[in-house]
Amino acid sequence: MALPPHVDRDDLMSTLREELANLPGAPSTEPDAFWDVIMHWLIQWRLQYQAKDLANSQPTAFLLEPENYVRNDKWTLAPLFREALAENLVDNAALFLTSASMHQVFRTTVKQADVESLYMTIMRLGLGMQPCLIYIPSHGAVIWCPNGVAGDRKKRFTMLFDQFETIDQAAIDKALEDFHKDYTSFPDGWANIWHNANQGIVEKKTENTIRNWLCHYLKFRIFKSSHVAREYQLTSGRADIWIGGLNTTPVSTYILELKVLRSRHFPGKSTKARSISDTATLRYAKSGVRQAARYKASDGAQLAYLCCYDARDTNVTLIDVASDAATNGILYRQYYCERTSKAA
Amino acid sequence: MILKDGTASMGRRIWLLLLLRACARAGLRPVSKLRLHRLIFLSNCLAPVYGETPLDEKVIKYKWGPYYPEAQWDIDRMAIQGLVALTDVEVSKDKRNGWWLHANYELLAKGRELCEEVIEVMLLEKVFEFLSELAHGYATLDDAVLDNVALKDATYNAPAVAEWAPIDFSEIKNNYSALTASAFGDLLPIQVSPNAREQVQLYLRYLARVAKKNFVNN
Repeated sequence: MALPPHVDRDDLMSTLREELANLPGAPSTEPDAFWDVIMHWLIQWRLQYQAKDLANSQPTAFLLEPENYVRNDKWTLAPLFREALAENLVDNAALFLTSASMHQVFRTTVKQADVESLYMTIMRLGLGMQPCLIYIPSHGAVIWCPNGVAGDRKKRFTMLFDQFETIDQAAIDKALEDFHKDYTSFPDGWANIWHNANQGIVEKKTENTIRNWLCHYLKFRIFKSSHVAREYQLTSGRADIWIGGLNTTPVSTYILELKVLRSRHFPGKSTKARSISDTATLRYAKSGVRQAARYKASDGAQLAYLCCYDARDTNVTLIDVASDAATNGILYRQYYCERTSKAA
Repeated sequence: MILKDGTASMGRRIWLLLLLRACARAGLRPVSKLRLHRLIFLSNCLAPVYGETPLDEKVIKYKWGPYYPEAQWDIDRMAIQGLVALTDVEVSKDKRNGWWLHANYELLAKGRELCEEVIEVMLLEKVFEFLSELAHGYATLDDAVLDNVALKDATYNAPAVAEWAPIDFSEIKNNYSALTASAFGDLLPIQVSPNAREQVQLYLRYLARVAKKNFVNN
């Protein structure tokens, strides 16, 4: 169908270039959408106040407001909070209560200025199960609690503000290396992939875990310069991660296909670990090469990667897979996941 | 609910309850009467993007923006039934057009429970998903343009439609909103299409851009 004649194509194109990268990566009803909006806002704030000395600044928490929450008089509306980017955000320890859109933001100050005290205050307010993002400005870190501060999943990581100006192989390689260093190289890495590191068994859905964290990471590392999407539907299938460099002409796209290599796993619902042969591993990894090649061809992507996160017993490069990838024009990367934090 | 005109009103009330719930989740609580009618209109125009049938496929081009008298009747009835809270009521008088009621609306606990029930029993998850994305996308826009974005809508601004004239967008070729939303796909690299959620979000941001542009130029 043709564009309606009274609709300005330039306005549409400008909207696409400026807004596509800012769209939440998840449906609005999922905690990830809250994460997206708050992180987007925090990065804007931090970029605006890069020169501000945050060494003595207070941690602050953003909580997803339950839809039926009755606010007491300790919560005050912070007018135009989202737009104003107030410089004094972290001058006092505070809690902010808002929706996934940040349409209205309510604020309450807290007396104590450390993270543990924030946890206690949040639980006393009956908000312990609400998705929560805590910003620690003095460390440039955030703690993301998708199940609330009372929940069992908390992830801490460093905020990154250096944006790549050009999306190219060097930039993507650097981002992948940095991601591996912080998220998957050691058991205490933030992706938390191990079911039992001593036994060499990763969680069942480790591919999904790595994909989701890598997507978050790339989105904020390449923030505003491109669109990063997970499980992006192409005509030939679903690419694990798709990056669109919309600021280039012509538009350039990049595909990342992810695999996790294992020495053993729990098949199905079994609780008894079963070994995975080298042959099976090779077959699995080579299937990744074929997938990446297929997506690259159908998408016309500039680059396509096969990234293997290697959780096997020994750190051995899959030379056959690397060769197969090179033949098919796929960039092969293998990242070894250590079992102990003391490993060299 | 025993209603004067039965099924149509029941369907409308369910849609309105789901929309109010979506507004609450998006942080639009309470939502003003003016904004609620804007959202009803946008939900009607953009429902085809999600493959859903809208509540109403026509609207009168009122000077003050989209307004649905029957929906207003249903909202006020649901307020009496204790499903919706009605607050901050004010009346004003326009010399030409008479009295006008201003109010804010918010779903109550009983309304929320009913929403849960209808979503499950009537298999309306997809409708609620659509209304949630619409309300969320609307709520992410700058406050300064929220009242006006619907007035910049491609269907509402269809050429050669005078004030007080009906706009019928029951045929997709006349639903310029849905057509514009889907046009974003044509501007992206081949083989890659924005999904329904992204189309709705991008369309709302496009309307905000146009509203701001007009605001600056005026």
